[in-house]
Formats: sequence, C-alpha cells, structure tokens
Amino acid sequence: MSASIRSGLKVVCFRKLLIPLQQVPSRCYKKGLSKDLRIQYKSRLTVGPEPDRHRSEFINWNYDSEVYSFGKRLGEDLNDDILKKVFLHRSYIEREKKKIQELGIAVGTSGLDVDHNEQLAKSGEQLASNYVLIYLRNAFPNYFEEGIRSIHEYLMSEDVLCNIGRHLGIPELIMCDDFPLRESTIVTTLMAFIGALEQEKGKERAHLFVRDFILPQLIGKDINEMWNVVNPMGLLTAVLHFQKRGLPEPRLLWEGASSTLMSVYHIGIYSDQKLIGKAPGETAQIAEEMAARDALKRLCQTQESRPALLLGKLSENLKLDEKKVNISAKDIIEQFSPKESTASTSSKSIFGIFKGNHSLNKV
Amino acid sequence: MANNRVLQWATFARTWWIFDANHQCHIKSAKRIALYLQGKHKPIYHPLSDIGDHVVVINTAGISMRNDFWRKWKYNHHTGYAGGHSVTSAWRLHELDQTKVVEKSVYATLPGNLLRRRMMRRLHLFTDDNVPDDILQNVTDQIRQVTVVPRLIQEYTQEELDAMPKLFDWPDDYEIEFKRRKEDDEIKKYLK
Repeated sequence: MSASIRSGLKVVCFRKLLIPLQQVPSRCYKKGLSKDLRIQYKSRLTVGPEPDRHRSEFINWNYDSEVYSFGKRLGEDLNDDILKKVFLHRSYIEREKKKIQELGIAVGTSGLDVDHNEQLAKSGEQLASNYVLIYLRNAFPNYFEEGIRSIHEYLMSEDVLCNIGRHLGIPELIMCDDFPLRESTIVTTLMAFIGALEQEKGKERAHLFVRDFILPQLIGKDINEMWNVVNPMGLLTAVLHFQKRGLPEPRLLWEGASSTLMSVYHIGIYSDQKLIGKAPGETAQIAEEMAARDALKRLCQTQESRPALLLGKLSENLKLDEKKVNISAKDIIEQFSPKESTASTSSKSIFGIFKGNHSLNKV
Repeated sequence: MANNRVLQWATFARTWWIFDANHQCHIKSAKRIALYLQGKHKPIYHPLSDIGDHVVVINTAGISMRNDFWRKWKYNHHTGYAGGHSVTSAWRLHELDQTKVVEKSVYATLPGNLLRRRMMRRLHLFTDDNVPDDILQNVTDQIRQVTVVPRLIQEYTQEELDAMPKLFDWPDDYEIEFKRRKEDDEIKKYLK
C-alpha cells in the first residue's frame, strides 16, 4: 500500500517537472477559500437580499446627460427644460419643500416653485386614448363599438403602459417621493412625455409616438378574446337579423372518436344555406358556441387571417376618419327584440349577452 | 383562450380510420396502415411524440398473397427453450388465426421503439365486416386500399359471361371456384 502511494508521488513529482517554465504555478492550496465562501453565503442568508436602490445612489450618475440622451434615444428633439418637467412629480416637490421648511429657509427663495407633470400627463393621456380609439375604429371598421372599447381598455391599462415605460428606461429618470416606484407613477410619466410632445412638436408628432409605441402592443394578441361575449349565438342571431339574412342554423360537419373520452366535433353555422363559420370542440355544445364566435369574427372581419395592422412605415400616409363611430352591439340587439328591452328582468333576456357594462356615455 | 384550446384539441384529436383488407397484399397494407398508426400523415408528426391514429382493419380473412407465398412464406418462432424452434407456413398461421398475418406484418413495419406496443393497441383487427357498434361509431374516414379488388368470376352475370369472347371450354371436371381444403383432424386440434 505504502509502496503504491510512494510510486504515485514519484509520478506527481515527475509531472511537475514537465510544466513549462513560463507558467507560474499556484503557490498555495487555497485552504481557506471554501470556508470563506460558506461564511459569505450563510451571512447573506441571515442578512437577506440587498435592498433596491435608485440608480442615482450609485457612482457615475449624471441626471442632465441621462435626460438628454433619453430624448435622443427616442428620436425626439425636445429641450431639456420640458423633458425634466416630464419626470418631475408633485410628490417630489412637496418632499423637497418640506425638507427646506425644516431647515428654516423660506420656500420662495429656494427655487422650488417649478411645475410638476400632472397637467402634461392629463393632456397626454387624453390624446393617447383618443388616438387609440380613432385608430382602432378605422382599423376594424366592422367590429362592434363594445369590442373596440375593450381593446382600447387593454391598451390603456396600467400593465401595458407600465411595461412600455419600463422598456423605454423611464423609471430611472423619475423624480418622485416613493421608491420602489408604483406602476401608476411610470404610467403618468409616459403620458406626460406624450403631453410634452404634443405641446412642443404638435399633435401629429404625438400621434406618431402613440402609433409607434402603444399600438404595436396588439401584435400577437387575440383581439377577439378581449371582449367577452357570453352568448355568441344570441348576438349572431341579432346581427343576421339586422343584416336581413337568414337565421343561423348549426349543423354537424364532422365528428370523431365520439364514444371515447377524446371525442371531437366540428360544427358549422349556415345562414341562407351558406357556411358562415365553423369550429371544433370537445362536445357538440362547445363546438356550436365556438362556431358562433367564428361566424361573428368573420362578420366583423376580425378573424385570424385578417391583414396585419398598418404600423411603422406602412402607416406613413394613413388617413384616419376621426368622426367614425362603429356600430354598437347593444343597438343591434335592441332592434332585434324591442319587447324584451322593456322587460329586462326576465332571465331569457338577450341583454344577458354581455358581461361588462359598456356604456357609450363614458367617452 | 377558449379558441386556442379548442384548436389544440382538434389538432391532437385521434382520428379513427377504417381499412378493408379484402384482396389486399398484407405487406403493402401494413406499410400504409403503419403510417396512420405513427401519425406520419400529420404535419405535427415527430418520432418521439405519441400522436398516432386508430385504424380498424376489417376482412382480414380475405387478405391475398401473390405467387406461391401462402405456401412459401414462413413464420419462425422460438420458445426460448432447447428444441423450441418452430416454422409455420403462412397458410397454416392464417388458418389458426385469421388476424395474425396482418398483425405480424404491421408489427414488423412499425419502428422498433418503446411506442410500438402502444401503437399496436390502436390497431383493431376483425376477420369479417362485423364490427361492434362502439368501435364503428368512432370511425370517421377510410384508408384507400393498396390494390384494386378483382372481380371474381362468380360475380359476373350469365349475360356478361355469354357476351365475353370464349376461345375454349373448360373441361367438365375443372373446378373454377375457390374451395377451401377440408379441415383434417390435425388442424382441428390446433383450433381447439
């Protein structure tokens, strides 16, 4: 045993001789390294993760140049004063004022009587919301007004706008009281930027920004799922009646593996002996409902095979009709069953079609 | 996402096919049936994914073999014990079990991986066209036969036979009709 160890050592020693002279070998075995790492790991566990800190607390932070490059990054040639106003929140000014008061300095001499971004945000949000609605109405001229409003609601929701703001690099530039930032603060700042664009460069430039940054969020999204229709067959019946076409007739097109758990049914919907929609489903009822949805999609021309939205370079010469208002599903249903509109308490009322209450008086 | 769910369901649904093996070569049929069992006719095919369809084969009793293959085609079997080797002719195996020849040729055509047994379970073999209702109502479509079924001389009417040009008459004792061999005692022993 000992002989074999000795011979092994000999080989090791021999190998050390073979190492070229230029290479500096390790001078120690680093005995304490693993122990140190273990201590570091355990102490990190006890102390907890490092708290989030604003970028300005680190070195190499130049607010002026960051704000300047923000404008340049987006290709907008705004002056620094208005850009700084975009990022200035009311809470920040109030906090600073309080600090100065505590120090005993008169507020008037402190140079803190600057404007915050609320007014800009308000005008920016109005512009963006308005433009999104107009664009959607022109992009989907045959879609229901309720559906357009659902898409608009999605695009102007806090999640989507906050996501856009984060990816544009807004959070690091915001001057406000709370940290970590609330989502609403980021959204307000983004809207304030749109408001600033409108104020400085005009409406068209602000519209371009909305078209380039907010509307592309629809790419890859199923717009038909945004508006929840509870009874699609009821709505389809009303629409066909409105168009003076035959009432929908569901027919079984194809069924497979019907006596097994994995059965599949394909149901088509006919109107005046023409196929207007078809869909598969696990049961005949589900397939019928999905087929009604499919028929509605085709009637509204929002099916998956529709042409892509006109964005970017394609939309350069886009002419939008600003006064366009799409047809409302509610009106169509009222025309279909005027009697039931008075007695809306009955359970069979066709008004049960919609889940959300979209009133046209909102905007 | 109800729409996506339903589309996915339809994509991965297993279709049931029916194949009439009457007067079909069992090897060519097996090649065609194996495509459907593996799901190779689908655009979503992948060798590792289990997306094959069901195939119901009817009339397996009526399969055909060319030339003298009923007599010459041999099936080897070994029990694993010493002296356990046996060789069976195709005609003999067909007499013992009329679905066995098709089953063996489909099994041999399928790739030899772990999915093979599962794919074989989706192959439903019937000697004639009496298929139970619970299987038949699943069937959606049929697989095209590999060869055209010949018209037997018994199926011609007398008028058609009379109109056909005739070069010679068969001798009186010549048997045109296909007749099965009489079942001898040895075969009866296996059938039991």
